[in-house]
This record gives sequence, structure tokens and C-alpha cells, in this order.
Amino acid sequence: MRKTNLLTLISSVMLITLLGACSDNENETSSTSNTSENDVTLDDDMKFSETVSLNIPVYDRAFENWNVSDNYYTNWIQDEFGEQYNIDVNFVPISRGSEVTDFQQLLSAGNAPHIIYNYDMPLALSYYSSGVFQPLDLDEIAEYAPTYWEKLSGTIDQYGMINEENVFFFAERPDISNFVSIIRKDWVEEVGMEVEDLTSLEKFNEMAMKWKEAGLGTLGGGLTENIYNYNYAFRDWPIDPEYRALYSDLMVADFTTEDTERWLRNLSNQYHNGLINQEFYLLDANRQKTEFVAGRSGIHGEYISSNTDLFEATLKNNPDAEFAVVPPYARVPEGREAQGRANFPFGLIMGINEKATEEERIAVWMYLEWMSQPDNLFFLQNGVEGDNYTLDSEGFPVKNEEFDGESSLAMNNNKDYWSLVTEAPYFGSEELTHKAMESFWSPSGYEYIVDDMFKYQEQVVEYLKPDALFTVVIESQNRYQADLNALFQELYLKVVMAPEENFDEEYEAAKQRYLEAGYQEILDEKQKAIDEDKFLYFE
Amino acid sequence: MKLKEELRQKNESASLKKETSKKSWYFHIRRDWQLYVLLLIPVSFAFVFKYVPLTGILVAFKDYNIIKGFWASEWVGLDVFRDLFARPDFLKAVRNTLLLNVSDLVLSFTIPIFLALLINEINGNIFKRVNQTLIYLPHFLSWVIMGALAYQLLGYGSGMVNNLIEQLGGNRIPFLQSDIHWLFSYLAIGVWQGMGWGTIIYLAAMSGVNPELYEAATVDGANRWRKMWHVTIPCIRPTIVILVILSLGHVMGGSFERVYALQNMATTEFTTTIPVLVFRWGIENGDYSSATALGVFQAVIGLVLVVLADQIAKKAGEDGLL
Repeated sequence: MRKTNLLTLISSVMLITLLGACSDNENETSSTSNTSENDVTLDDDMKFSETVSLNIPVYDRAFENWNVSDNYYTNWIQDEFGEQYNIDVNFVPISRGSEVTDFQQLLSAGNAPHIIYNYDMPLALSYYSSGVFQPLDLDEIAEYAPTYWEKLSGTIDQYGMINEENVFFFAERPDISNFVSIIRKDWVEEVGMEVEDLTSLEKFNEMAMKWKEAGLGTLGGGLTENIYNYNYAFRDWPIDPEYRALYSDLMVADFTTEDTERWLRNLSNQYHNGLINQEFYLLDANRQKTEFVAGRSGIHGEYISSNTDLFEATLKNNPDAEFAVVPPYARVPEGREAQGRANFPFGLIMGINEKATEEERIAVWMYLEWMSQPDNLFFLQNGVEGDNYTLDSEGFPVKNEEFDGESSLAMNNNKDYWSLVTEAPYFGSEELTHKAMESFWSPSGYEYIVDDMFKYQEQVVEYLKPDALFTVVIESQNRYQADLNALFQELYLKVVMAPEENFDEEYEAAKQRYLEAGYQEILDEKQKAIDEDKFLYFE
Repeated sequence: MKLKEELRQKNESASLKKETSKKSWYFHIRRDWQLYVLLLIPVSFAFVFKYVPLTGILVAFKDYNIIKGFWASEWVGLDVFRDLFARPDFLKAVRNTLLLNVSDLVLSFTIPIFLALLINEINGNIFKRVNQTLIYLPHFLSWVIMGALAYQLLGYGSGMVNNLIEQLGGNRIPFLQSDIHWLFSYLAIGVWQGMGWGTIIYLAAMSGVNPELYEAATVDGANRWRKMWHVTIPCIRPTIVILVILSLGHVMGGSFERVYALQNMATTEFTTTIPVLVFRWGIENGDYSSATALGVFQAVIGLVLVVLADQIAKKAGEDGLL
């Protein structure tokens, strides 16, 4: 009898707990739907009559001494934007290294910000297939964010519709990139070559062999993982559009193609000849930088910005170090072209959280509109005139490197705040933008690096194309992505590190495993989408 | 007369006992309510953090969608399990989990017993305490630190141990960078990290051994080895049995952090384990249903092993756990 009483008690408590959880959800849902049926109350100054809480995601890149959600600029945004429209702007930190996990956990807990974003379309589509986004009314964007709409309406019209629903909106992306590969010029010259001599992969490997013989160091690089654009320079040119659509994917490696085989053979050759670090698979991005800074490797790639510490740190260990940009054909096999994956014509891909109310959604448009105003954007990108920068004779901002006061910018020039509207500053024309970006991205004394970076980008621009975009969700990709990512790393290392005479045998077996682990399913599903013309191709 | 008095007292005490046992639970709660209030704290803790999350098992039977949530996601019966068993990594993960954990059970379980026996035999108190403290210390280092330390010390290219081996004229050993070596390094590092901490319970059990047993053994002419074999070990045997049974519950689980911190992508033969797959599917891929199903599978096997081991122990004449 006592046992029965106790069981009844426990059951009742559990039931109440569970029902409580249920009713919370129901309340939440009903409150959302009620609100969305109501008219939004804005006064003549476009001010909300009741405070609206706006949750904006911001990448947390773990910069030292930088609080992403509470700093001079977040406070400034609240003062200038939030107070004006009666909006309480909260910044939700999203770890850059594990953004998908962060978003998924926030979504599961019902605490996700009102904008869900990503730089990669397959991931954005994967969110979409989970029902994360609400459909958009484009007229509403045009009404509340006219400046933003004027700039982005073409992009939103062209790429924002999925399964005949308007889902995505975007940030602008000026055709400019700041990723640069740096080479130790002093090492190149020490072995009797010039940086300009590096016109093919064969020459590049020859130089690496000379570095090795001179005891200077190895080529840079580390474990290839997560971002798969490694074999573009090994592809045929011109390339068949359908082939490129089928096999180009940032998230899943095309391990079974002949392009990958060529890439693997070169890597295997570099590994067995000691041209790369024999433990390259232990090197993540930070350790690759450490190797370069310590003078153990002679090549390193990163996104350059005026406050990068790469050169200064390397010079501390190697006072005679000189730097140059790796020429674009240095890692391209003889007879091939410097193909690459160009960025999509948009920056961040964004959608509105399915749970956002009408007020919250309108607050998002108002926020984008406010940030699209040149003065606001310029302030967020450059800081306070006289403190953070001065204007040169042509009116371009010149950064004050010494300044470390309250209004100091984040290490990437505050990009994680203004990237909602643009991926890079734009000054009206490509020429002016390049000119302005020279000081924006150039560490003092290294302007020539940014100049060369632009020069080389220009040389190969015709071979840089964005990957095709599928306009349907590739379900098998969502399902197998993580497994294939882990398997790719395992298999490519096995093939590369196996004795060179066993390469063919190892690679054949590895390809088979990779196909069976889900890649064949992905290829089949993509082929079906291609056959049904459900993809966008960029000429 | 005396006998009569004793009988009376016995009867009184029996009737008091009977009366007390007849009192309702309400009486006990009223009498000792302060104690029950105190008990509420750990009970609530266990309920909230151990039992309420068990409702999450439902996700293994649903096509969980982060937006539809826990309740609105569609029921799919055992589809998730069927799919799970068909996935290529599943069998490999089961094999590796069993291999790592059974090997670990053999080594990490037995070595602390030997170590505790040795520490127990040390006479010098200060020497004993210093040794105990030193061997406990690695337990307090997280696996992230342990992983970094392991690669600093045992790395093939620049590890300190390999540098030393090379300087002494030997060949470098890929402690962490070849599959078989990795397996032994994994086990050895685990033993090193956990053996000190593992001795605590055994030393406590040994301190409870009746000294008269040792005195009797001495009188019978037993040396230290004999006393250890015939007195100490039989006395701590129930503790050993209970700990074996508890350890069996983890045979299908094991430490995710340990594998994750010590793994590298060039030696993956033994690193795909069930906890690693749960992380990959659940956290990296957002496939919460498969990850939960895998967790349920792991927990059920663990429970079965514990129950089986308990039955076997009881049949062998031990007290058992349940």
C-alpha cells in the first residue's frame, strides 16, 4: 500500500512536470500567433510604443580582451539605434568555430536570436529543411528597410527563394577578398630563386626541395578538414558546368574524382620527400601560424587586416625575415589554370527565426536599414575620427595603429557587427574600394602585400567561379556530412602517408569506402536535382 | 527471578518495536521532518538531473526536429534504431568501445588494487602520504591538458621522450601516431591518470581489516606476502566485486574526452567509439534522434551487463550490488 502511495506521488510529480513543459510550449506558440495577427504599433517617428527586444547574433572569435556582446560599439548601437526606435538590442555570441552547434542548441532551447545566419548555402538549406525560418514578405522589407532593399533586392530576388518561398535575405559582398598566402621571400632568395619564378607547382616543389636541402624549413599547411576546395587547381579547364555542380561542395569532399587523385599524388610526393611537416595532420590553423612565426615553415595563409600580428611576431623570431605574396600559379600544376572557388555574390545568408514575432521581424528590418546608412556603417567600420583613424587627402580613413582607447575596434575591424549588411567596405567603385582597402587591410609598412594581393586576384579572376547553388535541400548531405568529414580525413591521410608504391591500391580501397559511407547517395541525389534543373550555375 | 525480569524486558522491547512499526509514515515524517527536509535536497537533485532527463529518450523514437520540439516531432517507432544498426560506423564503434573499455577494465581495474596493496605495506607514514598524494595528482588534470601533455611528451617528431630515445641512440617510436602504439599509449595514459585515485577505496577498505587477523597470521608464521594474500585480499574482496559490477556498466560507454583528446586523424582505427559517434551525430550533425538512440543502446547494454554481473556474483557467494 505504501509502495503504491509512493509510486502515485512520484507519478503525479512527473506528470505535473511534463504537463508544465507542454503548457509552456503551447503558451509560447499561441502568444506568437496572436502577436503576428496584431498590427504593429509604431508612432510617427517609427518608434515602437512598447519596447521590442531584438536579439542579433554576433560571431565570437575569442579575441583577447574583447567582449562581443558588451563593448563600446554595442553600447553605441543601443544609444544610437535602440533608443531612437525603442528597441532593446541584445547581442547573442555565436562561437565562430562551432557556429552550427551553437545555433542548434539555441534553437532547441528556444533561445535562438531573431536572425539565423551562415556563410554557406548548404548549411542554410539544412536549417531551412528543419523549419527554422519563417517565410518573408519582400514588400515588408522594402517598406521598413528601403536603403537596404535598394542595394540587395536583386540578390534577394535571385537567390532568396527556396521551394517557391522567399526565405533568405543577404548581406552585400563587394567583389574583393582579403585572404592572402604569404611566403618567406628571404628563403626563396637564399636558395637562388625569385618569388616571380614560382609559376607552377613543379617550380614550387623544386623550391621546397631546395629549402629542405638548405635546412630552412618546410612548406606550410595542415590537416585538410571542413572546407573542401583543395583540388580546384587540379581540375580541367574549361570545366563542365554539371560536373562542377555535382562535385563542388564546401562541406563534403569530392574524394573520388580524378582531381582529388592528382591532389593526393602531389601531397604524397611532398610528404615522402619531406617538403611538408611530417606531422602536418596535427596542425590546426593556430599551429600552422605558430610554425610560420617560429620560422619552421615558409608559407602561411590568412585573412589579412591592418592589425594582424603575423609579420611583427615572425620578425621577433627571425629579424631578417622578408615577406611576399605567393604568386597565383605557384600551386597550379603545369598546363592547368589557377581555378578557385569564388565567393558567392552575397555575404551572410540570413533568415528570420520562425519564432520571431511581427514586431521583432520589423525591428530586424529597421536595424538593417539603420546599419545601411553610410555614416553608421562608416563609424562601425572605422571608429572615432581622430582616435581610431584620420582621413587622408583623398578622404580615405587611415588607421591609427597606436590607439588603444575605449573605442578600439575588434581585431577584424568590427566586421562581425556590420557583416549583416556588407562583407567588406565599399567606396563607390572597385578602384576606389581597392584604394581605400589598402590602408584598411594593410599593416603599417606592408601596403605592398595588399597591393600584390589585389594584383594577383586580378590576374586569375576569370578562373574563380562560385560553386553552383542547389535550390532544393540535399537531404543525404545533411545526413552523412559529419561522417564523411571524419572519413575523408582518415582516408586521405592513409593514402598520402602510405608508401608511394601502394598509392593506387590504397586509393582504390579508400574511394570504395567513401562511396559506401554515403557519398554515392549524395551524388545520386545531386544528380537528380541537376537533371531536374534545380540548381543555379554561375558563369 | 532474574530470568523473569529479563523476559519481561524482552517482551516490552518487542511490543515497543511492534508499536513503532505500526506507526504510519506520517508519524515518522512528523517526528523526523528536519531530516526529511534535508533529504529533499539530494532527492530533488537526483530527480531533476537524473530522472527528468530520462524523458529525453523519447527522441530516439521520433524524427526529432529542433523547431517542432520534443512533443510535436513525429513518432517513427524503431526506425531510428534500424537505421542506426545499418550505418557503417556503428559496428566499428561497438567493436572499438568494447576493445578499449574491456582492456581498460583489465588494466585500470587491477593496477589500482596492486598499487593499494603496495601502499598499504609501506611502513613510513610520511613516505606513504607523499607517494599517495603524488599518484593522485594526475587525476585532477583534465583530458584536454592530458592530451596536450601526451603529444608534447610522446609526439613522434618532437616529443620529449622520443628526443631522449634518439639521443640515447634508439629509434623514434610512434607512441600516438600508429594504430597499435596508440592503443597501448591510450591504455597506459589512462592507467597513469587514474590509478592513484582508484586506490582510495581499496585503501579505505584495507584500513577496515581487523588487525587481529594480521596478529593471528603472524602467530601462525605467515610472512608479509602470505598476510597480503590470505588476509588483505579476502577482506577487500566484496569491495572489489562491487566495483567490478559498477565498472561493467561503463563497458559500452567510456570517456569521450579521453579518446577525443588523445586522437589524431592519422590513427583512427580505434578512435571511432560510441561516445565519439554520439558527439559526431548529435553535436556536429544535429541528428539528435540517432545520437539519442545510440545513447539508449549503450545504456541498455550497460544495464544488462550490470544485472548479469550482479547475478553471477551472487551465485558465486558474494553480496552483489542489487
